Amino acid sequence: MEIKIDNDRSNNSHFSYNTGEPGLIVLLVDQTSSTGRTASDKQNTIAELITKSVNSLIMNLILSNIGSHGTIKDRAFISIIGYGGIGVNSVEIIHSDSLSAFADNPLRTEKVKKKVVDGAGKLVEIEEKMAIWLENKSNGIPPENFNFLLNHLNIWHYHKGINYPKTSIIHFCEDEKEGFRSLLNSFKWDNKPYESPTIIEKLFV
Amino acid sequence: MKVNIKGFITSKSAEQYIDCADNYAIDKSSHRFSVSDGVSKSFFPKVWSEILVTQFVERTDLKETELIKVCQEEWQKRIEEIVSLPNTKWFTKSQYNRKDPALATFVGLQFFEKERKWSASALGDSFLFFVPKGFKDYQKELVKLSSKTEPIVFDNFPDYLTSIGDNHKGTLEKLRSQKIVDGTFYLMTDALAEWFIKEGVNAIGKITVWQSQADFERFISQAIEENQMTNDDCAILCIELSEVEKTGIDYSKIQVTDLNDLISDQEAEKEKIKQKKLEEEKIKQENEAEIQNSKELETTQNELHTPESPIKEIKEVPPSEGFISKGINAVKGFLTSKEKEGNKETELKEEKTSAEVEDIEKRTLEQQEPTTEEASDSESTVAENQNSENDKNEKLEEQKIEEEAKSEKKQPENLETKEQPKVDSKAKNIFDKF
Repeated sequence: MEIKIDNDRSNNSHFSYNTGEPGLIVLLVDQTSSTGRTASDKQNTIAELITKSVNSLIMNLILSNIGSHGTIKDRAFISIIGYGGIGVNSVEIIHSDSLSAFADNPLRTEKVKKKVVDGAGKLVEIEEKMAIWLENKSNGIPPENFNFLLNHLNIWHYHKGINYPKTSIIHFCEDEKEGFRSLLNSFKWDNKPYESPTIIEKLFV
Repeated sequence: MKVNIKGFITSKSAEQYIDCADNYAIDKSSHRFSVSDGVSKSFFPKVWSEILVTQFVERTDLKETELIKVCQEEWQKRIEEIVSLPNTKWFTKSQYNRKDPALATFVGLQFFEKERKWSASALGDSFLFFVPKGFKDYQKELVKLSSKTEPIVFDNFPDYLTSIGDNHKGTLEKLRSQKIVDGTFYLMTDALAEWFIKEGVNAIGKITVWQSQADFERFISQAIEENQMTNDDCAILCIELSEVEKTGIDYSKIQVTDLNDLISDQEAEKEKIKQKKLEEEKIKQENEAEIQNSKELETTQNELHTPESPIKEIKEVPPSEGFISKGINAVKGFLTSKEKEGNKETELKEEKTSAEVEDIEKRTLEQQEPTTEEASDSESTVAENQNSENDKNEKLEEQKIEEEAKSEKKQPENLETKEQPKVDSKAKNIFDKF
């Protein structure tokens, strides 16, 4: 699985995850009450857009990693971490598991109708099963800090060691959160300098 | 003309051969050779690249467009077989319903014996190179064929042939009716091609050293480790031509690794490790049971064996299921008769012995069942479904076996850390499963 993104801290913006050296992809989700506002498309709330983006990203990761026998290649470990809710530091690890476990255990599935191009180039309507791992939610305020995220990364490196490919954090949020980047850029492991995680913010916009 | 062929193939470092989406094929009767790289993000690319290379060397009767159509039909048939299997997962069916295609790059080469000519075509970032024997200016004399334009940049968006419809990306680059001269053709997929171009003339010497699949894999592992090569599936066919003035084509030496052989060897190795693990597990369980039995027996004997103790007969009870309860009953029965005799001393012993036996029974139960604390700890992990947890454990076990089976592939080393950060057990359990 290739990860190619522009990283404002490093020119080395291209790296790969594989089953032998799986990566950690953290999907950090803003679920605060402000995401309940209607988005610029006037049809969805920001929270709805975020939820759709997260679910569709996971779906694409799964479909991109189907192995030769139709099983999922575990090239990444996915953690969905939501913040918001009641209390200042209300943070929840919503779902954290291997990619194959995500594929096997969605919260639920929905049937959606979709138009696709068939082999002859014609548009045909198909019924597709859409899996849901994250439900729509907008409540509460952001946490005071993002230390919980560092703790999560620490646990990953505690298990896997520093030589594992760097982690990716995708922050699904309305606006960049103050202190978020500086906190992650200062990330160290065992008091040694460590390549900071790749961060993408405001992905859904 | 004399032809020597070397062909090597391998999967990404730390992945299995079965997941290798590169393929190649040769056919001595049609004098055709091909290499293809399945685009990993597409739908069953391995099957597609395999069909492309095989059909190209076998179906000399077909023109290019007909050949692709035949390949597409074959792919469709194979995928329908896979999708209709009872254990096919929902996401595979979903992708099939979406009519997602497989994508692959391609390079094909053919010799024309009578005309003493060769033709080739290429699409995507798989390359054909021809290095004439005794070249004077390597860069000038090197023949390079691919649909990539100069300056060549390797990325994740190559041109490809699609398994559904006509939406192929790019057009096949072709070289027609080239005169056959002494030299070597190199057909290879992208990671190797990138390295080959970067290395320049040095690449020729390095490739010449590869005399076996093991040599090849060793080289690839080292090149990846030293960041000289991208960690990707690799396939290469080296076709050396000599004495081209002689009539006929003599395939004097062919040494081409069969990917299917690598896969079956690896599967056999996995099975062997699995069996070994099962046996070890069985022996371990037997030993544990034995130790447990002897411990229970010893504890019971120690606790109950006292001078003048009326429990002597308990030692005779074999260590079978419920023996502690039997012991309690025996003690109680015996002491009840003593009680009738009004022996105060024995009454005290009864209380003590019963308490001790109960304690043993309690401890035995504790050994058999997890403590409440342990149970609640494991329940606090993100896994909520017990059945799926079992499935996961099996899967993890299989993954472990797969990793061990691929022992020749480099495994990442964990860095020894002096001070580990504090992690709570609940959070730690999340990654334990992975």
